[in-house]
Amino acid sequence: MKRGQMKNRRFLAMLRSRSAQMEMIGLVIIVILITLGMLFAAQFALKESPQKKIFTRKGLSYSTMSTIMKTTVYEPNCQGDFITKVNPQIGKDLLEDCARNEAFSPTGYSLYRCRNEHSCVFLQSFITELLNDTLGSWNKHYEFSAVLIQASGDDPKELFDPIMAGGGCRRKERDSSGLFPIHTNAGLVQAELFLCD
Amino acid sequence: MNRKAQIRMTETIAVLFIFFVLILFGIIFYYNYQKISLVEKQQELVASRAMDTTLKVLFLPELTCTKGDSEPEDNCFDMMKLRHVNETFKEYLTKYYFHIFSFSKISVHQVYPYVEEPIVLYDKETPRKEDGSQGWKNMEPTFFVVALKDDMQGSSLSEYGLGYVVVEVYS
Repeated sequence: MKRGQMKNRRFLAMLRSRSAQMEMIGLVIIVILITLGMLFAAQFALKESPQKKIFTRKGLSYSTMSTIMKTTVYEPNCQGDFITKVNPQIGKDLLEDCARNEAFSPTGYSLYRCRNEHSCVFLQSFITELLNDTLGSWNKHYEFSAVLIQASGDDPKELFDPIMAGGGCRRKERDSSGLFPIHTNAGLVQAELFLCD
Repeated sequence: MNRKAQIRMTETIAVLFIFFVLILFGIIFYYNYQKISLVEKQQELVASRAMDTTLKVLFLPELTCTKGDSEPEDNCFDMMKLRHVNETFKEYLTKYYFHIFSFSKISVHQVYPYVEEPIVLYDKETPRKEDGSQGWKNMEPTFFVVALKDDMQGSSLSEYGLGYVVVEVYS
């Protein structure tokens, strides 16, 4: 009788340990499934922004900047000194003139007076128009700035207020056109365009 | 004992049911993920093709500005070439240009001095389906700002306008 009871107890203990093992296996399967799910989620979350997009943004900012610098101004009343009709270029002529006569902006003397405005004032409105008609019409956010560095160690001085759309590109993921330096008698002019989404 | 076994059976069935429900959720999630990633991959491929075509256009000798024997100018199209290149493109469309641009549309818009009508350089749409409906589902446009050099303005120096090239790729 005692032997029979012992056998029964052993059998029950074995059954219990077996069910415990089964439960453990179940738990392990659940843990594996949850881990797989989390791996998927991590894959989604850590997906890098496509390289193509960055390349396009960089290329577009560079091409826009180099084109603006080359653009010839065909304004009907664009007068230079002693010459009634001139077609100055933004980078070569107007930015240089703006840097040289920045102290007289906005109403004083400048060599070029397109739309009867000081070259710095004209540049700000003209570049705004060009950027609005291109990058602005494609809903791109951008920030254009031109600074004058008069001597090494000097703080850069803005030639005119930065031109921006969509709140500019500060504290955003952005790409730069790179610096476009122009040597002038007044110092070094550095223009740059930032593009962001 | 018989009842206990029945309870165990029900328990096992419930556990198995929950397990298969979890597996089913996983499969649904994976299927949706694959579906989305496939669409994304497709869009990425079209965008990549659009980008490649744009780069080919930007460096096409038939369009780029040159200064005599020197290197071509960056991001610049020669207006004299632009005005006539359409004829060349049309003449050698199947023999040469289709292999470069495939099914796409390339146009140049002049922003300054403003010209309303864009210059369409190349336009080859995907052939229509048998039922007469449109042959393409997506069109990926890529924009690039370019300088438009015009030596016909009468000045001794080259003068540059501002425009942009739009490359639309059909897929």
